[in-house]
Amino acid sequence: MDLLRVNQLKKSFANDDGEKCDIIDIESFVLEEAEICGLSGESGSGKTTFLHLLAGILTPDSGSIEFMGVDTGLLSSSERDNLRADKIGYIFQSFNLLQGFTALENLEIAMSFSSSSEREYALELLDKVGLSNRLEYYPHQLSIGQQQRVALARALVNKPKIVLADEPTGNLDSFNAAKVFELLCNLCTDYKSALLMVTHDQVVLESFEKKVDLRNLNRSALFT
Amino acid sequence: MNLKFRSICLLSVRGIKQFGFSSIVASLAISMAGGLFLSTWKIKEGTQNAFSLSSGGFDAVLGARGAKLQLILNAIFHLEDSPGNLDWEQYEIIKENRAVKAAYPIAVGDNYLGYRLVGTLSSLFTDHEWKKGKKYEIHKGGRIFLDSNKEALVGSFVASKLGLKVGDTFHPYHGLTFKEDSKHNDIYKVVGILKPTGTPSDRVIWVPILGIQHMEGHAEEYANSVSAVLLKLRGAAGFGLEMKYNKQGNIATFAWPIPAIIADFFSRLTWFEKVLQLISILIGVMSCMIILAVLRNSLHERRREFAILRCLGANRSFVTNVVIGQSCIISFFGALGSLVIYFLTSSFAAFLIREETGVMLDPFAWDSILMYSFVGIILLGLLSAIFPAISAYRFEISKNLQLNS
Repeated sequence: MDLLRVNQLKKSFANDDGEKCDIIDIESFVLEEAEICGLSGESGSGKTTFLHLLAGILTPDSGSIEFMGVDTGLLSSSERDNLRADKIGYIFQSFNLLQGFTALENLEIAMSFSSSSEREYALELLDKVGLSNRLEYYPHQLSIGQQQRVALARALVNKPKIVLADEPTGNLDSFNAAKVFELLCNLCTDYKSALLMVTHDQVVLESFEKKVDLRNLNRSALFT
Repeated sequence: MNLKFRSICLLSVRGIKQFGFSSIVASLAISMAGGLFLSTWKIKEGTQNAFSLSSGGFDAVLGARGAKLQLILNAIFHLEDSPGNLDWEQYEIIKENRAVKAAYPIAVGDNYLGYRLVGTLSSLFTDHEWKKGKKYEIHKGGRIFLDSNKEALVGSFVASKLGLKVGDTFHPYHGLTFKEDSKHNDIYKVVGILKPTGTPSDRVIWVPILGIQHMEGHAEEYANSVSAVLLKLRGAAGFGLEMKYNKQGNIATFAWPIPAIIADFFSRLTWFEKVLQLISILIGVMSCMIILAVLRNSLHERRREFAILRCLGANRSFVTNVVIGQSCIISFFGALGSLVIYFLTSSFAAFLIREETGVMLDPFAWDSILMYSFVGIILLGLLSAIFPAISAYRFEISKNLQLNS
C-alpha cells in the first residue's frame, strides 16, 4: 500500500532580485509502507526542500502530496503539525538536538507533541541506540556520533510511519556514519517505519535497495 | 504532570536561564513597582485605620480654642504640643452635660527621658473601656495610682524602653521634650505597669492629674487648668456639643468625630500617595518594557530552537505558550518579590509608627488587595508577552531553518 504519493509537485522561491525560481518540479514519486529509500542529488538540487514539503513544513505551489491517502495540502496548519508530530520523524544533518536539555528530555519534548506518549518507550529507544547510560547527559557532553543517535531515537519516539532523514551521516566520520546508517535502517525495520534518507555518500547509497536520484526526478528548470 | 505542560515549563525555564540577568532585572523591577504600589496604598490605608481604631475608646476631645487635629493629636495620640489649657470649670461643666457619658481630664507638660507624663484621674483605669469590652489591665504586682499621691502607672512601651518596674522612682522633667537641665524636684514612684493595648497609651507615663497641676516649678494657673478633656458620648450627641462649643462658643474647641478628623488629616497626604503611586506605575511600565525586551531577545536567539520544535511537530500554540510561560515565570517571581518588598516596607513602617506614636499596625493582616495585586502583576506580565507571543505564533519554520540545500 502506498504510504506517500506525490503528484505534479511544484515549489518555487523568489531569488534576491525577486525573480521566481523553480526548485521542485516532480511529476510523481511513491513510497510504500515500511519501504526504505535513498535519495541522492547534487547540492542545491532541492533535496531538503523536497523533504520539507513531504513533512508539511512547506506547502507546495501546486500538485499534491498524499500521505496515507490524505492530501496534506487540504490540511490546516495545525492538522499538518499533528501529522508531523504523530506520523513523521525528522532527522537533520546537524542533529539539531535541543541544547540545555538532556538526551531523555530531548525525546520527552518530542513526545509531548504526539497524542500517544510513553516514557518507557523513550527509555527503550535510548537503550536500543546504546545510550541507556547517557540519559541525563546534555548534548555538549555527548560525542558527535552519540548526538546523532539521540537524534535517531528522537525521530522514532512517536512511532512515525515515515522517517525523513536529511543527510544524517553527513557530519560523521565513515565509521560512525556506517554505524548510524545501520542503526537507522534496523530501527525503521523493527518499528515498521518507512525511511527516506538523503545522502551524498555513494557507499551508503549503494546499500539501499531503492535509490532515487533527484536529478532524474526533479524537472525543475534550475537543473535541466 | 502532563508531558506537554512539562515541556512548556522546561522550555520556558530554559529561556529564563538563557537570559538570566535580564530576567532577574525584569523580576526585580516588577517587584519594586508592585512593592512600592502596595506599600503606598496599604501603609496609608493601614495607618489611617490604625489611627482611627486607636482613639482609646473616646468619641471626642474638648480642649483650648484651636485646631481640632492638633487637639486630637495631643490628647489622644500624645503627639504635638497642646494648643493651650482649659479651666477646670470647663471640665466640670461638660462632665455634667447629659450628652456626655464619661469625661476624663488630662494635663500634659512634663516628661521623663522624653516620654510624656499625662495627668488624669484614676477612674480612667477603673471605669473606661479603651476598646469595646476591654479595660486597662495592670501587670501582676502593680496597682492603679492614688489620685492624691505622687505615683505613676507606666505604659508597657515606656516600661520596656526605660526598664521601669514597680517600686522605681524618678524625677519628671519639665516640657514635652527631654532637657537635662529642666528636672523637677518632685519624685514619683512607679506603682504599676500597664499591659500592652496597642494604643498611644502604651507610650506615656500616667500620673494623677493633681501631680501635674501642682508640680514644683509649674505656674500658678496650672493648678486650676486641664490640657484637654477626653469624652465618651451618649449616642450621636456630638452634634449638639459641636454646635455649642464650635459654632456658638469661643472658649473651647470640641473635636468630634475623631475618625473623621483623622481621615481629613490623611486626605491631606493624598498628593504624596499619588506621587508615589505614579512612580510605581512608571516603574511598572518600565518593567513591562524590560519583559518585552527579554522575550523579544529570547525569541530572536531561539529562532532555530523554535524551528526545530515546529519541525518535530510542535504546533503554533505550543511555542506561543513557551513565550507566555517565560513571561509568567518572570512576573510570578516579580509578584512574589513585590509581596516581600511590601511586607518588609510595611514592617519597617509599622515599627516606626509604633515607636513614634504607639499605634499598632499589622503589616501581615490579610487584605484581598494582596491577592489582586499578585494576579494583577502576572496579568501585566502576560500583557507584556502579547507581542512576542504573537510573533511566536506567526513564526515561520521555513525562514528559520536553512531550507534551500
